[in-house]
Amino acid sequence: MSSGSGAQVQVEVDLYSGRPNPTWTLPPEAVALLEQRLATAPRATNARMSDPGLGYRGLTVALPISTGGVASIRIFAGLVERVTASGAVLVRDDQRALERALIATASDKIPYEVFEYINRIVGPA
Amino acid sequence: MLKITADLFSGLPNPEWLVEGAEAASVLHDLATNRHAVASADSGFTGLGFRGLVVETLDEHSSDEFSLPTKFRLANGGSLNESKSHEVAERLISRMTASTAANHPSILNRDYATDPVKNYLLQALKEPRKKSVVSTVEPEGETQETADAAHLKPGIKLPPIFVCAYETTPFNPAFWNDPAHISKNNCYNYASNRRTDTFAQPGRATGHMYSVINCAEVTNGAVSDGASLTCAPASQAPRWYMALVIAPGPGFVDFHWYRKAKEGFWGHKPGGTAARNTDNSGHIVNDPRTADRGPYTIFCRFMYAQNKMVVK
Repeated sequence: MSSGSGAQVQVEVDLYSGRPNPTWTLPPEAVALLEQRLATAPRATNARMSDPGLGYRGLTVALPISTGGVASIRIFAGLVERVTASGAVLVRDDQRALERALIATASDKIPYEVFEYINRIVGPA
Repeated sequence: MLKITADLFSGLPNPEWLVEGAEAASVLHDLATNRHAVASADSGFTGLGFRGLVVETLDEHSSDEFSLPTKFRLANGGSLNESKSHEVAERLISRMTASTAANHPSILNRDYATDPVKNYLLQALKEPRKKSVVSTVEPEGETQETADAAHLKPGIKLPPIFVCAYETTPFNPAFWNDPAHISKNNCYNYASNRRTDTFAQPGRATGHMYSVINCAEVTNGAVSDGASLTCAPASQAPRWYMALVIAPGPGFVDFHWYRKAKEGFWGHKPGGTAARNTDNSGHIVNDPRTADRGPYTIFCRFMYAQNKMVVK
């Protein structure tokens, strides 16, 4: 499930309704972490990605797949959803660790007040 | 010199007029000797409908001379002597359409300082304030009438200027949630009913995109695109009825829009996510003013998307 190509991977905070969402490029180590978690995290049973409506709705990543194509990854509130042409897989993100780790990579890439807001919403580890 | 504002509308600009000279002095003297008729500016009835008169002194000595606040309310249910408060309010309302009523730079909104509105206010003063009941007038067919008429007292004949016609369509989320389009269209696309796949921004299509996000700037952008703040003529049908709200921050600053559906509720589309008719608490949005809007805590206003409106 490796991205393989070394292509830049963009992450988007699904935050706004009117304005475009903030986006930034994930550093390679964060991409590696994401791939590792997707490969090893336990499946989430009896769970479903929530849609809170207005306000912070998690992170989305378009992750290239080594075999071709792109997996759409959504990370929010303790769950990670990976969607490809062959279907969707839902795994756990305990303590929102992956979500926090990816958010941390934004500290110098998005306006500070937005970074601070997102961290406040997600809460401390 | 007194500036009087009738706190009446939620979407339209409130009527304003001037009372000066001997009449203003007489009113102030009357209030100074009947101090309990004066209510503080932030008091009283705050719901839908007539919320009393806001009285402001425009010269530097009147409030000191009569020991009155520079800004206060009358006939809003917030005073200790509402009878007297109503009596003085009636005097001030009767001056709404006087020839000198607009002679001051602070008088900005004269559109609705008219005889029909004056007569409506005078009649409203005589009626006891009831719990507001939304009574949207819905004639047969697609055309409906605006919420600014809906919250005014049932049973009182409304002047034509309170009634704006607009069009609605059945709630159709599938059109917006098509995977080929869902992420490319936002709340503004949805509210204006224009699926451009450009994640449209108010004002961008017409070269007047907002520079900061607040009610005034985003409203101005939409107006530049062709939205109307007052009744839109039938020639501009279909006229979609929209509502604008703002998240003021700190940290989260954004705008959001709603559009009224034929079924009577409001639909909306939070960014690139699914169009829906429920709020953040999962309740049907019957009124954007009272829906759970999450961080979008400021309700700006209603307005109309006209046929000529373009968005990008």
